[in-house]
Parts: sequence; C-alpha cells; structure tokens
Amino acid sequence: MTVRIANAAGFWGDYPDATERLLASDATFEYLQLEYLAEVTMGVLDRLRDRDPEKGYATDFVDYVVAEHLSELIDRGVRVVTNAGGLNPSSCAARVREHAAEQNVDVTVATVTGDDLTDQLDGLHAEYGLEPFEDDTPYEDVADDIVTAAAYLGAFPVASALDAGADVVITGRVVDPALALGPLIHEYGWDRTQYDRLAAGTVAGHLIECGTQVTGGNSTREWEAIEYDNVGYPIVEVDADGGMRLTKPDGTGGEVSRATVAQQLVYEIGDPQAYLTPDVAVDFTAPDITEVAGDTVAITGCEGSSPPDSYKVSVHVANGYRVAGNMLYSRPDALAKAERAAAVIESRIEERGLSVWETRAEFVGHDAAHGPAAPDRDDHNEVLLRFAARGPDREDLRRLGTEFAPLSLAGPPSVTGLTDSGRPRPRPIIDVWPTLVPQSVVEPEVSVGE
Amino acid sequence: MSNGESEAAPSPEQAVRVGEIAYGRSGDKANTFNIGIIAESEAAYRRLDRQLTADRVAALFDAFVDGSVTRYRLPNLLGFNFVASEALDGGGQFSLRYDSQGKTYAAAVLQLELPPESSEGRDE
Repeated sequence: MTVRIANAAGFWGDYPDATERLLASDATFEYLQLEYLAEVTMGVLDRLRDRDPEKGYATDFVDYVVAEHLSELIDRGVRVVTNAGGLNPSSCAARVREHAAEQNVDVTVATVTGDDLTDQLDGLHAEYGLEPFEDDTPYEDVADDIVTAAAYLGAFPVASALDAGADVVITGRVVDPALALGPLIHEYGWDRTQYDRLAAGTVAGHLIECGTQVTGGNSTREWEAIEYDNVGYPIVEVDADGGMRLTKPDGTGGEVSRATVAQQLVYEIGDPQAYLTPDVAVDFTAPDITEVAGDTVAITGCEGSSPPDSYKVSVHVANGYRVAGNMLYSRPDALAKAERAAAVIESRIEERGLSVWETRAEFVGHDAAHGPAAPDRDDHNEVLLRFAARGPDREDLRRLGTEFAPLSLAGPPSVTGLTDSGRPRPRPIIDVWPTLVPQSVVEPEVSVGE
Repeated sequence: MSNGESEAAPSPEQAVRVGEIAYGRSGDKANTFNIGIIAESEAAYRRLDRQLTADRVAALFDAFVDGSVTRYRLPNLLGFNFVASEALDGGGQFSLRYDSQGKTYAAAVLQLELPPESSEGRDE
C-alpha cells in the first residue's frame, strides 16, 4: 500500500488551472493538497477581512478548485486538504458547502481552527512573557498595533478531521507540511512518538508544499533545458514505513531529479538538523535522495526526534505605510540619469518636509536584485529607477507618490514609463513579529459538518 | 560507487565560479534569508567546504546583512545552508527592497568566483 498526495497550489497566486491540469492527466492520487498562506499573504487577508467580514480566506480555492472541480474530485474519491481558510476557515467552509449544494454532491467539510490567538495575546504575555523570536523588539512595542496572531498548528488535528470522515479539510494557520502529514497519520495510524515516520511525512509535505518548485521550476541547474510550459505539479507517494517517491504526471513539462528535490529540501529552512514543527524535530541531513526512474526520485532514511514544547506564533502588526514608484531611463548614461532622478526625489522630500522613516533607490537592470553583491558596471541600455519609502503617515506618502510623474518633464532626459505607473499610492505595512507560546495554551479545534 | 570526481570538474589550481560546480535556491523567513547551495560532486563539495565560508558569503552581501551569516553542512545532499539573520530590511511587507524575500540571492552566490587553491590548502 502507498498513499499518493498531489499538490495543486504552492501559494496564493499560483496557476488557477493547476487542479484542472492534474485531473486531466492520467495520474492517480488519493489526496489533493493546496497551500496558500505565505507570511505576506496573512497581511493581505487581514485587509480583505477588514473590508468584508465574510472574507479573509484564499478565494482562489473556492473560485477555481471548488466551483469548477468539487464534484469530480468527490466522484474520484480524492480528499482535499488545504490551508485556504486563512483568517476565516468557517466562511471558506460555508462557501464550499454552498457549492456542494449547487453541484448536488454530498460532501463532508471540516475546519481546523484554534490557531487564532489574537484575543489571548495580552493574557499570554502577562502569564508567560512573550519573547521576540528574531530581533530585540519587545512585546510592548508591538502590542497596540497587533492585527492578527496565529499559531502554526501541527498535523494531528488535520488527521482527526479525516478520521471523522471529512472529504474537504480547511485549516487556518498550520505548518505547511501538516497538509501532507495529516493524511498520512490518518491512513497509517502513526502515533505521536513514531518520530521517524512523522519526519518522513514532514519531509514529504515540505517537498510538495511549493508546488512546481520541486518539479523543475526555479531550478538553477541547467535551467535552459527545462520545459516551462505545463510544468507538472508534484505527487508524492509515501509508504507505511516512511519511504517515499516523488514524481509528476506523465506528459508534463518540468523535471524531477536529485537536483530539483535537493533544492526544495533546503528551501526556506534554518538549521537543517532541527526543522521544527509541533509534531516532530526533523533532521534534514538524514534522508538520501536517489533517482529511481525518469522523473521519479526516492527519498529514504528520514529521521526525527521529539518536537519542541512550544508553538511558533506569527503576530502580524500594523507598522506604517509604504510607497514605491518607478521611471525608465534609456541610454546613454541610463544609470547616471536614474541616479540624478532619485536625488531629486530625495531633495523634494526634504523641501516638502514629508515624514519618512527610510527611503531606498534601486536601479533595475543594475542592482535591484543583488544590491551590494551586484558588480559595478556603467554601460546599460536602460535602467528602471525604483524608488521606495516607508513612514508613519499615509498622507505624506501619498504626496511622495506625486513626485514621480513631474520628472517626465522636469528631470533628466530620455525618460518614459508613466503609462504603467502614474502616481503610486501608499499601502499599509503589516509586519511580522514571530514568537513562541507553550504547547499547552493552544487548543486545536476540529469541526466537521455536512 | 563513484567518488563524484568527474572529468569536467575544474582543477583546484584554477579559479572557478561557484555556479560551475554547484546550484542552489534562496528564500525568506521573516527578516532572515537562507541560501541552499548543492555541490555537483564530492570534490566540489570539499572545495566549497574550504572556500565558500560563512565569512565569504557575509562579505558578498555586505550591508544587506545587519545580523550574521551561519553556515550548516548537509553532507547527504553534498550541500550547505547559509542563514543570514536581520538581513531583509525588515522582511516581507516592511522591506523596501524589490527582492524583499531574497529569492534571487542564491544566484549572487553562484556568480562568486573561487580563487585557485594552493596544493597546501587542499591537504586533508
């Protein structure tokens, strides 16, 4: 026996037709997993929920997966596990049930919640003294501006939802690998101390959670040879003993190789010997990766140990505003022209007394990606000035946004690009303040309904 | 078993670009970025171990990193993970950088040139 889990979303913004492509392939799988919640996505969801209390979830899931494919998924016996619930899993579940009624399919939908600690945070700080996870900013500095706080839950509540018969499991914040480990715990009955098994399920989830990034996308190794049209979404087949194979549907683009899998294993990790979730501490220096067939890689020998006794919590904090605009300068001397334009904006900020914390001029085509790591050169065909600023006052940044367009008449020559940008508008910054809370204070809730 | 020494591997007496003997990927967690670098062969892994130090990577990114750079080994992948703290101008939504999540930073490391090694430096 093996359990096959496919992924059809690596973030909110991924191909809306990924599920359609998977279903149209001849691949078979028992679970479909969709990951939508990047750190920056939580701030976006908060703004959406502010405008409409029924929102705050990843609408792509409802619009492109549920609306178009729910009945086919159910017919084929595929169970769906997703963190599309975001800040509002119950609302997301309600939409899924509406679509099920419309499509006349019998669907059991479950939510996994208990991750939202927003209202308990002050109390938790009073009792346990919340510490910053990353820098030295104390809780007191962020307390008044907290918009939402979510604990990263583990895989066991997801497994409970499946145990209870859910066809669709919608979570709020869970660690991304829980979307794969949950189904494996459900299928194999792994218990909380089978750490090597839990480690294997976590590695499986970590490998597929970014979708096509494990099947050839973003691979820096011989990228010229990779076919980027219709890159296959990943499918991981996990055995009861924790051995697994990663592959993609036949006839799709992309590549599954030792190289693509190794790059994804090291993606967004810290100490590789301590990849921590609420379920297990995984040692990423243990597994062996072997190419076993065309576009199929085996991962074996995963090892884990007991998890930390805390949950990581992402506290999202309103922290001022940000604006960014750009202007395109052509040769000759494109960089010098763009630099002069940036200097004009700087001096205008000072003249007008606009309140900013910080500004940043970057020169696209020169140093916008690599900054100080970019080599010096001066022979550019063209350079895009990107000028960004952040500050406490929305109105001042709105005024700063009016400083770009006039440069098309009043600044250095051979400039264009107004039709794309016009007057950029400031946007609120939702910052992240990560912290830890004791496991005992978080109570995951599973709610199952027709 | 192959010892991973391929004919194409540049000799240690030659300078080599990291991207000729390795590949990699980078990303973010809040204000931290990490760069995973995977060697093409065991010889390349040993050379990177000697020459692609945490200090070398920290010097490359210079003022981008307010905290520090730590290097971890993943011998099972012939790989290294470089973790840079306080390194994304506040990270995520706060950062003013175009690449606010460090997605392109692995490419900067792959462009680094490693100088020729003296035979003395290779003694193990």
